[in-house]
Amino acid sequence: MPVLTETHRALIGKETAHQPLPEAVNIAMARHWCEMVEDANPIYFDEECARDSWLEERFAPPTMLYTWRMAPVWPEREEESALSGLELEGCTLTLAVNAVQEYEQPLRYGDTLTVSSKISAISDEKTTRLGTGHFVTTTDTFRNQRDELVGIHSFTLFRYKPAGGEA
Amino acid sequence: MSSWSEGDMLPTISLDLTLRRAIQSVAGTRDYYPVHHDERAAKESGAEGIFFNTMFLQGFVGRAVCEWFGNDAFPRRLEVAMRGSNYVGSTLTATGVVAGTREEDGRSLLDADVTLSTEDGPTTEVKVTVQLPPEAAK
Repeated sequence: MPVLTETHRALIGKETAHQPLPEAVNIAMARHWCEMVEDANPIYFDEECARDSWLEERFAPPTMLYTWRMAPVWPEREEESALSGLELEGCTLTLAVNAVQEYEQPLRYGDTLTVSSKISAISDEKTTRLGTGHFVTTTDTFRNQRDELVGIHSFTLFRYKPAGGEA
Repeated sequence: MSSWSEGDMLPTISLDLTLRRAIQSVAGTRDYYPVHHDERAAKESGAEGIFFNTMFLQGFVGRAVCEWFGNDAFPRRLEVAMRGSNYVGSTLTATGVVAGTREEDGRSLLDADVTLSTEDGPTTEVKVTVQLPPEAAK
């Protein structure tokens, strides 16, 4: 499928409903995150340190934004996905190529978030050293329990079939 | 006015990309896509081995930003462009330079260009905008 069909074009810009995320913003996941990259910033955990700063209260590392939307591994849950209607023949593999995050406000522990997603772009067929496929950009919009915008994440993924077809 | 200015070099920060850290990354980012923990799946995808995911890179830059600009520096925008893979067994290094400072909507913002590299060379180009804490911005 070298060029996009009308069916593909029709998917671009179609936004899902705001769906609740699996867990409230929480310290346990923030700890795992900080251990992973050896982030010793006390502002995420130490109440006094946070209170003495202009940010006033503890918050989760801002770059965790996308992690809050990762689906539980078990049990499987039904989720409306912007990508669920997207059929790219033979493109079974995914590689992230670009990600942009914007942070509107700190995520406080206990915040409950929702996300809505849309496909913002699909490229024509391209061939890279990995294989042949399409670049697909999705944009996720995150809101909190007060329906305030807290962050945006745009992800460009290469959806491809491997070169040589060995997989 | 910020105490930072265009062209200021940022101290290098490094992290060993061990297999153990790859496992921490699965737990930390909740990303169970096989290429990030299964050597065979990674090779079948065309990669040389297990490689680290995007969220890990975002987290590493998030750490670096606060080490450079203060515990209460707050990132406003982060763009991560993956040009190569960050494999288990290598060392990840962040280097950066201040691209400029500006005032916008009452905020003191700093833009930095950051490169993540391994022994294989640069793997990831990063552009980050940080809101400086009030005292650092004066």
